[in-house]
Amino acid sequence: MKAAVWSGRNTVQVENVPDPKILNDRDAIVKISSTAICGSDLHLYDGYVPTMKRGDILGHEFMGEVVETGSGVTNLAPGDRVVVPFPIACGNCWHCANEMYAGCENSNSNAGLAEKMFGHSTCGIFGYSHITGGYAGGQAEYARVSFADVGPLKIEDDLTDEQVLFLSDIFPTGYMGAELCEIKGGDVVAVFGAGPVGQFAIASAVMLGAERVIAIDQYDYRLQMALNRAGATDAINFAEEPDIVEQLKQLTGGRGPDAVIEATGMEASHGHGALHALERVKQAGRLETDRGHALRDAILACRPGGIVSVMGVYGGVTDKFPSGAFMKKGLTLKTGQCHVHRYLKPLYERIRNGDIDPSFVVTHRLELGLASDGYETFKHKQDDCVKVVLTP
Amino acid sequence: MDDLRRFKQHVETGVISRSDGAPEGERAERKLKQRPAQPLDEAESEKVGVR
Repeated sequence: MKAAVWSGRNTVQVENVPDPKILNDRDAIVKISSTAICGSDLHLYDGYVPTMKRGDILGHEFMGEVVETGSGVTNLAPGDRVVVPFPIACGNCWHCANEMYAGCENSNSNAGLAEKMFGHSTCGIFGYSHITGGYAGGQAEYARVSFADVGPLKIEDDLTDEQVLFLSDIFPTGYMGAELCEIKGGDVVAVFGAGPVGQFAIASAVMLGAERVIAIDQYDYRLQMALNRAGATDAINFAEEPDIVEQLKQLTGGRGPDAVIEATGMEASHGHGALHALERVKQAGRLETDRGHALRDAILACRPGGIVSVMGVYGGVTDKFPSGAFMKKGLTLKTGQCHVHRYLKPLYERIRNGDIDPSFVVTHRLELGLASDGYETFKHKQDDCVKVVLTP
Repeated sequence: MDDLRRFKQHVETGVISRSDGAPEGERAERKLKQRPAQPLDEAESEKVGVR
């Protein structure tokens, strides 16, 4: 089959690889109908995530048709149309039993590696380095889905792929980011990053009752999408005015937002060129793995007693964590890889009810064979790119 | 440690978690010598004892 594989920093190639086979009784094979490039795939592409290996198949946002099941998978059958959540969860361990699927204790085949890095292992993830298991991803014609009796959601109506594909990651991730903010009526929520996850965080904050949602980005076209499609009430373009904290104060009567969602992660940008360059140098010199611009500003901007919800992906360590502001203001910091399984059915219902049509983020549609172009377009924000969907 | 993990996996899930990069399941000796995360060919499947 054809698959998009990581071939070193800034290089993705579509290659012929063996077809996947059932390796466990709880596996299924899915013929991919649509798959997307995630913003977090760019961290792999850009070479910031360790334990990648040349030849790794990328992709953790995918859906398709079940073509084979292991003997332990009784809830799916060939022909079923499914969306596959990006975390691989066994459904049996303590974390899965408590609906914290991203903390699954059994699905990471390289748990020892993850323990060294994070203190504990986290779940396996499709197409996301060997520290999360070394699972082949879904930017391919077929994928093997482990613990298929737990993860995939059957789609039993005529919604298009683009309406349901993002249940695999970015819609639940954005939603969880908003849910962690414990939004009450009248709340002001600021969202750092108007990329795909940021768009869904904004839309979710609106659905959960925020009175004002402030989108923050450096690209006008993304801010326009946030305002016109996701439901943001205000926008800050930090390319025009770099002091985000001050602007948020001005928009909130000096108090600051009640909650801040950080949806950028380890490759955040800063409006001040010199500050941004300094972080790039530290990152290149391995003095830190993660650029902390957005995380720092989120903590500095949030009102005392507020909640900072971090959904952007971080992989290692960041310099100058503002511990003083964090402590003195009594902030609550919440974060995590999304427990996608928990949100699949409720958010599927929201799509079916017409509360949201997630396809609004799609700006580019390409054949799988053009995956390399898709990565370049997405990385460099060419052609007003927000989200790339690939079809095998 | 690997044996403990495999025991826990087997007891709790009924299977050993096999990724494409570590198809035998968790093994210390495999940590530094992962294969690419892509499906196994026939010879590799036979070598690691999966069907």
